[in-house]
Amino acid sequence: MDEKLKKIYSPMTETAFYILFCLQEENYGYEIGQEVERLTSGQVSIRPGTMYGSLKKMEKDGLLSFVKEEENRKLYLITKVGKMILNLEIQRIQRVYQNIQEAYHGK
Amino acid sequence: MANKRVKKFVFYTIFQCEEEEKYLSDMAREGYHLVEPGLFLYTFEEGEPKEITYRLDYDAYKKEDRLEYLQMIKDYGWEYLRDFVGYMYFRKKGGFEDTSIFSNDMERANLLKNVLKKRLGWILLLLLIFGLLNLFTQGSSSHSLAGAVITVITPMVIAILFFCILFFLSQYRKWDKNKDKTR
Repeated sequence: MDEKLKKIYSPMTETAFYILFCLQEENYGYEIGQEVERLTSGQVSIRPGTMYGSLKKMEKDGLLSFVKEEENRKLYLITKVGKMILNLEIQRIQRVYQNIQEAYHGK
Repeated sequence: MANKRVKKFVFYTIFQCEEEEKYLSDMAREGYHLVEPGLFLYTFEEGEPKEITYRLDYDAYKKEDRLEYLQMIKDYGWEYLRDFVGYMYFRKKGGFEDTSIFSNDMERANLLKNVLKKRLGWILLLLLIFGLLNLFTQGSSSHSLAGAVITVITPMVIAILFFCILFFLSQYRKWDKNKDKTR
């Protein structure tokens, strides 16, 4: 896989992570934001400027692809590369979580 | 019924957009709602005092992306007011602190930097054009009126452009310092 992409996206911001995670099913900006809020019980709320910038950047980097447009709303979907990056990040987060748990209980 | 309109003198540079946002939101709280921004004179409409947050965004988008962006921001409940010299004006009901277009200042700063680069590029291009114009007209005799006008005006334009760049850079330095302080 592209080492440069790995460098940029591992670790990635929470915003990028949740957007990518939600786009395992095709969706558009505002609805992605709603989905992220549901998923995180309102802990992560993504503002429109941020949402737009993140989508454009990840599309440019090939993590997302544009699917179709409905009334000026563009629907995006995760790409193969995006899935690989997402899985790497999930593994990384699990590793961090496990290490913390072990350190906690080991005390 | 048409409400009374008032014009106010307002001047904020691109580096002071947060101050401008606060000013417009404060005006709304006093019952003056923005109708049209201008170079120095902004038009407000008198009405009920309301808690409305104004936000400015830089129009750094390609044409086809713009529609998508405006739709997205509308979906989020923002009203798109209008465009003015590369800014987009948005407003939304709610308090200033908890209503923003960006999740953090970093993103906004990055976007601003792009806009600045573009503007500086335009100024430099103009400088180059007028510089060449000055070079070519210097040697030629200025018998015609147009020739005379050009020889007088180009040095003036060049001086103004230089002043613009200096002003720009000093403002940028100030903004760059403050940005780090507030973060």
